Amino acid sequence: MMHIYHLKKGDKGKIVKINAGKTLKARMKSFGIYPGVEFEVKAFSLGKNNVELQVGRSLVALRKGEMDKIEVERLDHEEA
Amino acid sequence: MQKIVVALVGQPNVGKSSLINAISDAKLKVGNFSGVTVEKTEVVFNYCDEVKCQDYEVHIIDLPGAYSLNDYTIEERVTKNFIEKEDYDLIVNVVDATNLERNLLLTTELLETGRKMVIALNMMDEAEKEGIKIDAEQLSEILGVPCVPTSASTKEGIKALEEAIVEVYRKPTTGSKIVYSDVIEEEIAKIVKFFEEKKFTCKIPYKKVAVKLLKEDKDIYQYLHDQPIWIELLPIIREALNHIYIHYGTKDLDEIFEDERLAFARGAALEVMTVEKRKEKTLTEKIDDILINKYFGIPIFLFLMWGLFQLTFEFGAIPMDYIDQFFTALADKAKDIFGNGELGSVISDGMISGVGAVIMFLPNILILFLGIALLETTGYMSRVSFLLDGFFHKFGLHGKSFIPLVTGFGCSVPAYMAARTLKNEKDRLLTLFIIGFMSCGARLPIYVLFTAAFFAQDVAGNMLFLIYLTGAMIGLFAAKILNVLVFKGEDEPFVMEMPKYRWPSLRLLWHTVYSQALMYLQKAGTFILAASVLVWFASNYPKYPELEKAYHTKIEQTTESAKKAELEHQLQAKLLEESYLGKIGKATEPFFAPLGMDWRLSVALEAGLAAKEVVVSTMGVLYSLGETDETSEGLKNQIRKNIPLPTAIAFIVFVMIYLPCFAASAVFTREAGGVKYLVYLFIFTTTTAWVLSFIAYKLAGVFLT
Repeated sequence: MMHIYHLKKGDKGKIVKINAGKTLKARMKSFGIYPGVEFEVKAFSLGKNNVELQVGRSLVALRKGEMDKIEVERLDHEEA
Repeated sequence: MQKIVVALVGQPNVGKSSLINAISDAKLKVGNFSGVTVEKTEVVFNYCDEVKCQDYEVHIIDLPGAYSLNDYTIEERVTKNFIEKEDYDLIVNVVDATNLERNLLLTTELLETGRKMVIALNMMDEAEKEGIKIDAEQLSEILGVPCVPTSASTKEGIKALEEAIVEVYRKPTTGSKIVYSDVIEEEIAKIVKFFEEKKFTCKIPYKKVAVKLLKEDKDIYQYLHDQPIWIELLPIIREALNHIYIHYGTKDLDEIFEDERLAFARGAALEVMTVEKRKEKTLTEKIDDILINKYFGIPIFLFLMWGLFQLTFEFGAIPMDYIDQFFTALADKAKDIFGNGELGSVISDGMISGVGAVIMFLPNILILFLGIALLETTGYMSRVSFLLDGFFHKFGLHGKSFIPLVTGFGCSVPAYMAARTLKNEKDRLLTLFIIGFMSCGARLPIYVLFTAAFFAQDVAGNMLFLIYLTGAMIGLFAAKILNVLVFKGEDEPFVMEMPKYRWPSLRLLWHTVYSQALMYLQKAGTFILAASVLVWFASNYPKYPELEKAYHTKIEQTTESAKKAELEHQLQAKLLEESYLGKIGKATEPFFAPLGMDWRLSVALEAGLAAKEVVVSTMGVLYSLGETDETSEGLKNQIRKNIPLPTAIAFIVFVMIYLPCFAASAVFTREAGGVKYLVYLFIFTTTTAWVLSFIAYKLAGVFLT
């Protein structure tokens, strides 16, 4: 199972599944984070504790705890 | 004149407040960070329709930014409640044209309410620069409500927006429409058909009733339950829902409709928007590459904060001398006018020296507030949350706690209020408890006074930075301890937008600094003035005529001028000791004695419970009254002469940690949700302050002497 912290800065990925409670799921959805969405990893903070993602046209930051709840797959650079 | 009430709704950072500013030229705070507009603000302007000869009074209510109509944050709850329950004529939905898809999600939710609506497609100029083209007419067509392209910065489209508001107000109904997926539309059609066949009479359109039924809206069920139609309707609904459940593979209707809205918003955005692909990085991306760099990010942030404190001290010191000179001259003048009696003393030694001591620090405070406002409006504050979250989380805090905490360096009162951005009760309480450790602007005068008294000008700035840093560190450890012992439970998730970097608006910066200056001066003019007079009274009364008489005869009998001065000094010191203030200080002296503090410092600390500025003014009164010669050397020198360094350090440590002030305590009680929390806070901070102050005193005693 792959999570965002398995990717590198500059990698592109796709969200496969979100294993979170209803509220958090809805919250993520309102930020444009839901299964099927493609994203790019813009930055990690020290120790990959937090990540900044480009989702659609917005930048969203998540913490490790949230990354744990999101299953992703890596997209090849040519494909993305 | 007809009144139109408009609810202004939009996601955070879409330029809602700037737009409202552009409409009416009203003064409003524009923020880059969610939570700046927690309170709803109202703006009124007049609109004259010349064709129809009709005047309108338009009331715009600026609702807090909401990503969706969830209960997730307090802001969203406020907005949701207003939209669903309050009385208004129409919604103006501000949409960020550079981020259409995500913004349309909220728009879709608003459309579902069935209220009249106008969409302001804001930041169109920016979107064009980013290579985004949006067909506003087509979007109006799809959503069934007028979409007006606007730009708050160039004031484009503002007039058209005003016209659209009035036009929509005049229409009897909204034309808003949402198209759901085929599966749901099919079921809706079935229910509508049934209503038509039964010729059911109902105030709201059939389609809306059908949608509400499928969403399991309680009110509509309650209403239909009492109708004869219910028995026949029930199986139809049951079948419709079953079809939907099977198709979606879930029985969670909230989630199903969420996905429906998402699909609709996506579809609409795709249809009206064309994006030119650009390879080059945007400015925000370029800046982010540096500012939130894994390795440089935190050092850059620390450097910026260090710079801010240096500026506060270095630049602030320039006007300080002039202000000091001005008030010294004013106090002398007052003595000339009112004489050396009681009246002259209360005005000169009480009011002017007390208020002057406080106003002297206005420049420092303004620079600090300017810095914080800059951090907020440029969008850097969110980056700092991102950078610091990993670190903060280790102490049980949230990256967002950074905002209230850093605001706490300015003033605890707005800081306590800023803690509302934390949704989780535990995170919020924990943050509230340690905000006081972030030394507020009002404590700055005390630090400046003491560092200037004991350190050379060139190291004083560094000492100041050290004091702030130490306070913050102690706060973090206190958070960890509280987190482990008191506040246990789930952490709030960290899902946060990083807004685009923006140039700060000069108008906003000016507004922030101006209102802060005004607030500070008002406080100085009222509260501090009263406190100064009170302290003056308490330090001058009761009178001891016999003691004075005895000393005066002694003074007259001596011929040596040095001896005379010494006797005079003894008298003043005795009188002060025997005054009310001296008595209070004496009574509490045992408590502070282990920290090396005498009754004067005890009194200053106790007065500080009312407001930290009073500490300096109290010391001003206490030490200036003890002066023997007429040429004032300033409070700074008095402190250097009267207070040993270890005691001064213990005093600063105590000031760093104990309860902020009366006003902050009141706000804390309100935000934390009860007086019992204030009692906890008082015990917690006073104990910590005393213990650490004691340790600092002992350590300083060993190492510095």
